[in-house]
Amino acid sequence: EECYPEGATMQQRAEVVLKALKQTTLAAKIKREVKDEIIKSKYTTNSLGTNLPKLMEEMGCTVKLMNCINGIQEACKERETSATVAPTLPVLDEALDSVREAKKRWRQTLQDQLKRVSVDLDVPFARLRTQRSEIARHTREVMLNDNDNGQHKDDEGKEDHDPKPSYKKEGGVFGSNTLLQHIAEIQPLNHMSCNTRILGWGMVPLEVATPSLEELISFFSGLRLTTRQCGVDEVLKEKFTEEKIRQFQSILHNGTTAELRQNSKQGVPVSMRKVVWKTLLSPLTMNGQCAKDKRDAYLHLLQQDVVKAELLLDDLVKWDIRECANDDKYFVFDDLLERVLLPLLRDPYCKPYMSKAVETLKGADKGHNDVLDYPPSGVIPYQGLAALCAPLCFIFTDVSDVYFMFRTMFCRYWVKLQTLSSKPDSAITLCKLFERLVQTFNPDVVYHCISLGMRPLELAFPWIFTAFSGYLEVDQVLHLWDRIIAYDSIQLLPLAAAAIFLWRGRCILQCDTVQDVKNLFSDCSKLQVIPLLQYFLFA
Amino acid sequence: MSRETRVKYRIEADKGVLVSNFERRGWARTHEEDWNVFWTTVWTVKMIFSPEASVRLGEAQIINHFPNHHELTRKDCMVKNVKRYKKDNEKNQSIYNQDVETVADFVPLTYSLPSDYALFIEEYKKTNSLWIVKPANRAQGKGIFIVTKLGQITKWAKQKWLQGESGISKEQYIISKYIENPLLIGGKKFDLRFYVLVTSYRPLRAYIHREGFARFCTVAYNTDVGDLDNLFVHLTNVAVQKQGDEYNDKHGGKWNVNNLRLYLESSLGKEKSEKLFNTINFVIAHSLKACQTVITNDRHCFELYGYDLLVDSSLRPWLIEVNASPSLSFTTPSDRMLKCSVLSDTIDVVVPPGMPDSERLYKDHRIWPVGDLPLNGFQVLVDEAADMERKQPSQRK
Repeated sequence: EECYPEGATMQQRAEVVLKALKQTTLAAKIKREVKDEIIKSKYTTNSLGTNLPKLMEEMGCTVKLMNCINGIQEACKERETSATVAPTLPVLDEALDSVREAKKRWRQTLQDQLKRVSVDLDVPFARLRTQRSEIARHTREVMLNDNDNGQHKDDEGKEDHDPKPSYKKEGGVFGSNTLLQHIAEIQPLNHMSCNTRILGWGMVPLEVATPSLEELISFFSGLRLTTRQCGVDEVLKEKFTEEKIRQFQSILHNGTTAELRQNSKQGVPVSMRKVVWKTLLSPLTMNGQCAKDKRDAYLHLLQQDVVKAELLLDDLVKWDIRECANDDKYFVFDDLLERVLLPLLRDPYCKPYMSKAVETLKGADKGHNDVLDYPPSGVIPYQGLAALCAPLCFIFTDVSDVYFMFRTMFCRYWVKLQTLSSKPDSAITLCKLFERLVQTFNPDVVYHCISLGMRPLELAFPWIFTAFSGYLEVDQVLHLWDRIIAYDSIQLLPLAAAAIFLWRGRCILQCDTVQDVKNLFSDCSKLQVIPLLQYFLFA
Repeated sequence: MSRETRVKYRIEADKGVLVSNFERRGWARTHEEDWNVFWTTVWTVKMIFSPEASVRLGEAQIINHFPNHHELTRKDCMVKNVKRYKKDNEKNQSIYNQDVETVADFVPLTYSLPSDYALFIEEYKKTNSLWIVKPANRAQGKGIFIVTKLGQITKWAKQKWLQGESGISKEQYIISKYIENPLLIGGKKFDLRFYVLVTSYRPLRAYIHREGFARFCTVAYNTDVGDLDNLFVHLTNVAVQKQGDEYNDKHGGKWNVNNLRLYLESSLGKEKSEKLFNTINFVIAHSLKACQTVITNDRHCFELYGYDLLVDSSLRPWLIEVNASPSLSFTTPSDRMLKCSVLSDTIDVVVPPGMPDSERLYKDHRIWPVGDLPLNGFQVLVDEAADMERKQPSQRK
C-alpha cells in the first residue's frame, strides 16, 4: 500500500504515485490497447512521438488514467493523515498535553456513561440473542414507548418525579452539550492573558491555529458572487438547472474526476447528486455490478451479525433514531435508519478512523479473559448520529447505497466533529474558528450575548455537530453537503454557522433575554444557506 | 361618502383556523341571514339551494360550496362523469395527454354497487386482483374493506341488499380495483393531498395550491393476506392512522410535498418526477372539465377541494377521490401553518377587494384576470376565460 514518505516533495510524491500507477491493472490494460492501436500500419514510427498523447486522448485513455491517478493521490493523502501505516508517536499525534488529558477524560466519561446505562437497563454490553433476551428487549421498547407518550400528557412545566438520567436526556451516551463542556474545560497550560484582550470572550480557551479570513476566501473562491451557484440561481436564471444537468452529464461521460470535483464546488443539480456523490466519494471503487455485489454481501454479513447478537448500544441507536424520527422531514425513514446504523456499529472498517477521535473502548467477558474492542467499529452512538444519515435517505433508495455512503462520509467528515485534537479540522478548531469569525465580524453582537449570559458557541455548536441536519430544510442541507464533499473540507460548517448567526445580528442586539435569542433561531426552515455563505464571505 | 362596511361572516362550527383568519381581517360574525361570506357544511348548502328554500342569495353573498358538487365529490358520480367525458369527447384532441391517455385512464376501474353488480362479477372473474369496497358517500376511512375472494363479496352483497328490509334506502357503494403496488418510500405507503380552488365552472377557473402533502401509513406496507384487515397498513387517512400505537403526534405522518419532490427528483431523476407532477395537474384539470357541464355554475359559489391521489410503483398517479370539505383541523404545528395558509390564500382570491361595498361583484370577480389577483400560494391550473380571450380578444371598454 503506497504512502507518501514523511515530508515528501512534489517530485517524491509524483514518484510514489507513478509507482502505484504502474502496478494497477488499468495501466497494463491501457498499454495493451495503445499497443494494439499503434501497430496498425497507418502510424509511422517518426510521427508517433508527437501523435501519441493526442491518440491516447482520443481513445479515452487519458481520462481513465487521470481518474486513476486522482484516486491514488486521494488514497495516499488519506493514509498520510491516518495512523494505519504505522502507529505514530503520541507526541506527534497530539502535541499538547492539555488536549491529551482532555481526550483521556473524554474517554473515561464515555466509559462511565456506558456502564451507567448498562446497569440501569440491566443489559450487558453484548450478548447473543436468545428468546429471553428478545423478550427483555421488547419490554424495554414498550416501556420506552409508554414513557414517551406519558411525558406528553403531563407536559406542563411540571418537574419529573424522578429526574431523567443524563443519557436519556441526551438520547445516547453523549450529546453535543457534553462535548462542548469538555472542549470548554481544556485549559491551555502556557497562555498569558496579557497578550490578547479578547481572551475570555470565547468559550474555547485553547489557542489553536485557525485559517484566516483571507485564506478562507481564497480556498472557497468557488462561492464567489460572480459565479452562478446551485442553490441560488435556479430561481434567478431560467433553464439554469437544465444547463447544469447537461454540463454534469458531459463531464461524467468524458471528463475526469478532478473536473467533476471542480464543478461541484458550485453545487450539484438535485437529480445528479446520486451519481456525482458516488463518484466523488469513492474514486477507486468501480461503479460496476461486481463491486456492488461485493458491497451487498459485506452488508449482509453485518446484518447477520445484528441478528445473532445484541449490543447495549443498539438501544441507544434506537433512542437516537426515535428522536430523529420526530422530525417531520425524517420520520419516513426510521426503518431504513435502523437497517443502516445497527450494522454500522459492528463494522470494523470504522475503527481506525474512530480511534483518532477516541481510543476504542474495551469490553471483557465474564471471566475477564477476552478483551475486545467495544463496539467492533469503535463508533459510540450519540444523539445526532441518525440525523447525519437521514438526508442521505433522500438521495439513495437502496439500503446498501445509503450504508456505504454514510460510512464513507462518517469516517471522512463527521468523525472529526467529535475529535478532540489541536490539529486542524477537529471539534476544537472548528469551534475556535466560529468564535473568531463572529468576534471579528460583529463584536457587539457577541458582547451583547455574553452580557445576557449566553455564548454564541452554545447556540451554534448543535448546528455544527449535526452538520445542520434537522435545523435547515433538507434541500439546503444537501446544497451545503455538496460543497463539503467538493471542497473536501468541513470548515464550511463553522462558516455557515457564523453566516447564519450574524445574519440575525441586528435582531440579536434587540433581544433582552437568553430565551429571546434562542427563539430567534428556533425556526431555521426558511433560511437559504448558500446565499448567506456568499454574503458572509464575499459581500 | 359611505363608511366602509365590515364584511360579515357566518360559520357553522367553531373552527379555530376559520375564526382566527376572519377575525384577523376585521370581519364581523353574524348568525343571521345578513352574511357576506358563509363557510358552511354541504348539508346547509343543500338546504339553501333546495327548491323549497325561501331565501335567494344576494349579490354580495359568497358561499363555499356548489349546490351539486356531489357530481365531483361522490365517488360513483365522479367515475360516471369521467367516463362520460371521455366518451363525449373522443374526437377532441385536447382531452388526451402526450401518451394518448385521458383522465379516465387515471381513475381505478370502478363499479357502483348494487347497480353494476353483475358487470363487476364478470370483471372479477377475469382477473386475480384485490378490490376495495367503499361507501359512496362517507369519509375518514369509514366502512372500507378489501376483498380477496368472490365469496366475501357475494356474502356481503346478499346481506346488504337482498335480505334488507324494504323501505330502508339502500346505501350506495363502489368497488374499485385496489392498487396493490403503490410507490413506497421508506417501505411505507402514502397518498397525496392537493388543495384545488374552483371559483367558476363555466368558464372553468381553477387554482392549485403549492402546499400539498403526502400522508404516510405508520406501518410498513405488505400484501400479506393476513394483514388485509390491518387498516394501518393500507389506509392512509389520518383519522385511521391516529388510532394506532405507532402514531406520532409530533409529525402526524405528513410530509410536505416539497420533501416528496426532492426525494423523487434525487432518487428517480428530474424527468420522471416532473412527468409525475405534470400528470397530476393534467388529471385534476380534466376531472374538473369532466364535471363542467353538470355542475350548477351558481354565481355565489366557490369551492375548495381536497384531491386525494395515489402513486403506484411505476410512478403513475391514480385519482382516488375528491373531497368537498377537506379537513381544516390540524395535527401538528406545521400542519396548522399549512391549513391556515391555504385558507387565507383562498379568501384572498375569492373575496373581491372592498367587499361588500365594492362595485366589483363576485360574479365578475370569480373570473377576473389572474394577473390582478393576489394568488399567494395558489397557481393557476385552468383559466378558460383567458384561453377564450386569447382566441377571441373581446372589445373591452
